[in-house]
Amino acid sequence: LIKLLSAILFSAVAVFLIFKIWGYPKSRNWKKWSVSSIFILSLTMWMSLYSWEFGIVYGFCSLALIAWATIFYYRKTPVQNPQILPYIKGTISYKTTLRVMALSFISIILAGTVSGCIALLLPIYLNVDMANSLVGGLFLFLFLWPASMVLILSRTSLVKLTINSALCAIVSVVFVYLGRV
Amino acid sequence: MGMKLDKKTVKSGFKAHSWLGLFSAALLYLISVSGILSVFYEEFDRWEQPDVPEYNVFSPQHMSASIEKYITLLGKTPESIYIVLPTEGFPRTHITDGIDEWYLDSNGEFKDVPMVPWITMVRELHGHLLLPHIIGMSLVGLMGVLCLALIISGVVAHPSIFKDAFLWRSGKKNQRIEQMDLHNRIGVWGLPFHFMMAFTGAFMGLGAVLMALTSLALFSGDPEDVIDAIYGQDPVTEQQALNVNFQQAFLTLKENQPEVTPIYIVLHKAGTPEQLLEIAATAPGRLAYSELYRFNANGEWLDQQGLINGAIGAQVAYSTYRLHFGHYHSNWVKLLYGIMGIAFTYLIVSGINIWLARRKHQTWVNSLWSGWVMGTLIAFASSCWMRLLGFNPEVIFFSTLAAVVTISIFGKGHVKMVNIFYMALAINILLIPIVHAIKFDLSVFNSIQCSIHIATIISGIGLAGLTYKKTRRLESL
Repeated sequence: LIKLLSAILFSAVAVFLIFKIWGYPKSRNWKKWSVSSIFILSLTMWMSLYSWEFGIVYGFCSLALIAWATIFYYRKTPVQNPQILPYIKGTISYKTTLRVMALSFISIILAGTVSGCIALLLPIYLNVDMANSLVGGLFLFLFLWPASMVLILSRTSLVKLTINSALCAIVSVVFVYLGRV
Repeated sequence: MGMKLDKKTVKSGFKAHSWLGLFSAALLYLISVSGILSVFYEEFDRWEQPDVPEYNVFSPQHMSASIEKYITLLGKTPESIYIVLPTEGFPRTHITDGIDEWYLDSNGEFKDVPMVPWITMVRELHGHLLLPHIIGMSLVGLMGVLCLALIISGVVAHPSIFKDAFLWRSGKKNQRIEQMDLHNRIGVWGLPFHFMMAFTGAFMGLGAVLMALTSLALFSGDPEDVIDAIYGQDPVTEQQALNVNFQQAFLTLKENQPEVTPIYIVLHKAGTPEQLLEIAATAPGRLAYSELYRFNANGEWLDQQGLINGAIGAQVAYSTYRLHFGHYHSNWVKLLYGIMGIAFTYLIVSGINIWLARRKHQTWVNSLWSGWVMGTLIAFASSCWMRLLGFNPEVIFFSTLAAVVTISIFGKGHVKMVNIFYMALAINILLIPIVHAIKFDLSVFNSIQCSIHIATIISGIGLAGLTYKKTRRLESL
């Protein structure tokens, strides 16, 4: 219990210092290094008290909980007047629906295919332990897929993107095939 | 800390964030609520079937007789037989082959069959949305990927998210700004946890599909090849005694690895010369689900699988389950996960609420969303107490959800309707301990039953009080 309380206290101090340096109520002397150091110190404290595997989770969660409590305590009052939104009869636009379907297809299927193929290249071409390269490949895939999804969804030229993604997918598939052969 | 992103990038990031949120919110919400309940599945399991014997130690001397009786009851010898040992979170022993299952008392006598349809439904809803396994799990995994994309786009879309890390303009008059600030604050401080949840969820959900695809691309097409490549193969044993010496195996384990805690045993190919005994045990300070220690029929040490000291890839892959569900170290971790899970669920709900408020008008979509949000909670609560009366929880869950969504869309007076839903939720939550107390003898009650009853009573009364206050305020306007 003493261990736990001291770690919580350290996180609270970390949040307090971040809060003071960061910007409530007036000061904005934001210094990257100082906040990063406090964060790292707090996490290190948790990791030294428990194992690093547990400590990192506890460290991040305790910082979040204490920060939320601070935010709740120092919340500001609103400056605008309330707005009552009128109720209108909504309809479904087929154009929008088709656009959503196209975007979803491109962002999920194409981004997934390209990312999957790139991730497969890791175990094929990287000459390391199979377990490590396979899990590394799976993890790489889980980073690449959402990132490429965001990239696709944030671009407006759908046609250009579709062509580029399809080309990437084909090239990646060829590389995977060649690697396997 | 303001990130230096140009306006165009921020705008496009915001667009992607909105798209992804709208696309995934409904299912993410369902997965998130069921996930919070699933964190406490051991407690709900004990609560739903309270009259099963509980104890802390199951002696290895009863294992042979229990396995023999299990084989007799089934009328065949399954490929693998598991005896799951009592733990701090779940002090009950059960024997299973993955299909047929019985609880055992501390003397190895067969007791009840597990009968926990409500928490099973909750877990299956979280794991595969009650769809056929491979489709459902892939869909849940895809939701994890979409959640990761939401986190990435959320950071890109809000360049001042770190700078304003403590800002919350709250109050009763401007709900959109309040929700927006709280959404961003919960998002930024909880980012590592949300990322971890989404990542491990995606990994577990897509695991089967990814392994199948990897085996097609790199191996012979059998997913077992990928599993063997990551976790290693089972050793081959031959020409052994037919009776397994469990006591000797446990003694050998204690001598070789005194710090580990056994959680289950598996007997492969029971009664044959190739039989293999595995004892799964948790190691202190480790997230890996377990390490598997292998023994021959005489209880002699063969090897360990290397899940806590082998390839880093295998260790990482085997740690995702405990990391996702918070089942490690202490029962307090579950509570921590519960609170963080509620924050994550709030992110989903407030995200859509902000998008709806930005439209400057209301349509049936507003009603649909509030119906879905409230309907899910009411459906979980009502299916819980109605299951205790013998109803099928899945039927109750989906019919309640459908009813609430329909009433929400076609009912008149959106705000009033939401208040009625809140009151319905409070009543359903309060019915849970009442029906449970009526159905089960109070003599079987322990700390788990009491904790769940107190939690439901407090949340039910609290919710009813808040709704009453809210309704009174609305009437006075």
